[in-house]
Amino acid sequence: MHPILADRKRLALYVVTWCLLALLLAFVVMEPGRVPLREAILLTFPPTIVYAFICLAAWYPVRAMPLDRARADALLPTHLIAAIALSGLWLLMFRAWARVPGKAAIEAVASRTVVFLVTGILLYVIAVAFHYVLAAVEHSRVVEQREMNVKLLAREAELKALKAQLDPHFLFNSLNSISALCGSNPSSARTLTTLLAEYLRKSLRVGTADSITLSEELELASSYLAIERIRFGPRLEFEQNIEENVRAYRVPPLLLQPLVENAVTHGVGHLLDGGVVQIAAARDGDRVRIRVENRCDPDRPSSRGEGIGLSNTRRRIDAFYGEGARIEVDNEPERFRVELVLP
Amino acid sequence: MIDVVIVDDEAPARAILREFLADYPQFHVVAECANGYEAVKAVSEHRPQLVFLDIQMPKLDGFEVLDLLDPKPKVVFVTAYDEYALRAFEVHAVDYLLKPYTAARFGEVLAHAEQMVNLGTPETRTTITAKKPLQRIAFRDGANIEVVPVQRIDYIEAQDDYVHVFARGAKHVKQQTLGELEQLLDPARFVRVHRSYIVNLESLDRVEPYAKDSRVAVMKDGNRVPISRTGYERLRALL
Repeated sequence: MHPILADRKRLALYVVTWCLLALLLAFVVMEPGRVPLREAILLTFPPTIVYAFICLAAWYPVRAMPLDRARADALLPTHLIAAIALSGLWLLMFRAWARVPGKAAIEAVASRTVVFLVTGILLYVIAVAFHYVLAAVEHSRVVEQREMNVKLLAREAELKALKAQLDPHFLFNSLNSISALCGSNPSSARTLTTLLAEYLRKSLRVGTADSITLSEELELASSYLAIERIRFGPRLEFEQNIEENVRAYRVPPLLLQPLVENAVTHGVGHLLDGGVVQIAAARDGDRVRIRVENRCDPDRPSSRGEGIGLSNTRRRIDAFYGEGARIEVDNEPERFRVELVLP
Repeated sequence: MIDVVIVDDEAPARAILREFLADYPQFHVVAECANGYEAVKAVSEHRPQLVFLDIQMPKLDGFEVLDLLDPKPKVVFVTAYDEYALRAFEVHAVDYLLKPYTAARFGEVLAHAEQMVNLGTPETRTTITAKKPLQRIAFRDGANIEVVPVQRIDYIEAQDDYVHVFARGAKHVKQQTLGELEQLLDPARFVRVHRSYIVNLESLDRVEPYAKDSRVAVMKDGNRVPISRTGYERLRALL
């Protein structure tokens, strides 16, 4: 849609500007005694207003040839030819219309052919420049909108990840364990309470940070697994294999948490004799590979597509690292492996 | 005296049930089980009147355990998940204990359970409707329990009150009507092609004409399953 025609305020401003131009032109044409001001105004107004609307068409070549992308050798001739053709039209309009005010007006136009032609060209060029300004304004608004959308999406992903992160069942089951241990094993109950508090404190603290080190993230995963170990007992084992030189690598907070939770609740938790959750991280050329791996039940129901946890992780690494990051999922009958390859 | 079996895969969760039950001498814990297999075995062996049953467990969940039990004891579900309450209500569970729970709440549940056990009604039932299509089916042959993921099923045949489920060359038998089972399976994958047959579309190789006006489904393993006229219409609508 045309940016001026679509907006009433802009259209009014545009027409008023052209009315002022018509008035200015009337003063140029006016000659005391021969062409009185009233006749001069009658002569200049209608063709100028018509020309104003013709110049609106400048929008289309402006849109087709944005200044930053079009080449000058295509841009200049196009607008030049348009300017010459339109100013010819502008002159013809004046000649035709001059018959209405009368003889003096006809003469006034005839004696100023060059003035009219140059004015016509100038007016068109001004119109083109004006449209380029409008196009720039429009463009920056679109860009701003897009940036805002990207920010909004990232924020949303963050919030979702945080929400998914504090699984209420985990909390309730842990509280139930504490309640149970209070009777039979009060010192274990105390340990579990402390572990849970530590885990909650850490996850609340890192949840607000933009990024944390891999070390911090792994500490969080360890606290989580320590709590789950009290519930699952020896069925749940945990192994870490982290290269020293990736410990300071920065990741978005709670990146691994959904993967570790999946490994416990959908992997080891479904095995009668339990299994190991393995986390490994290593540098591979200019990339960092982080792997979460667990044994799982070959008879588990086949999941269609990937879970919410995985698609969330995918969105988060896309938002945090951009193009260079990817996630590899290896779903074997007895093993489930997720590998994050990060730049 | 009421015999009780406790089923939960988490040791602390079993411990608190045992601890709370110790205050009620009329209840006697005859077995504790850490998974569904043990539960089916223990319940068949001890025939308790009451079972405390966790829902999320490895291999067999609480509802599947209940499904395999015959006769079915009174059941109290004990879980951290509140989303199964409706299903628990459907199977006539005595109560639904949300973890963590207080001793007072536990006392109420026990009073209710005692009443129900002494009255003897209503019977605990098998799930007949489910929010999500069935993912796997549990079969029991004496002490032997087998869990078959539905994607492995080729076709199902009705035989009186039983269904014969053919999966990768093996035959599994279960006491259930074909109509009930049809309701629980994913309708996009399993089609009732005949009064007595359901086929898995992914195991179907081709449909061949058979005599005048009738057809037969040839499965990928070569087995043949008759198709009725309405069955063929259902099949055609999906293919």
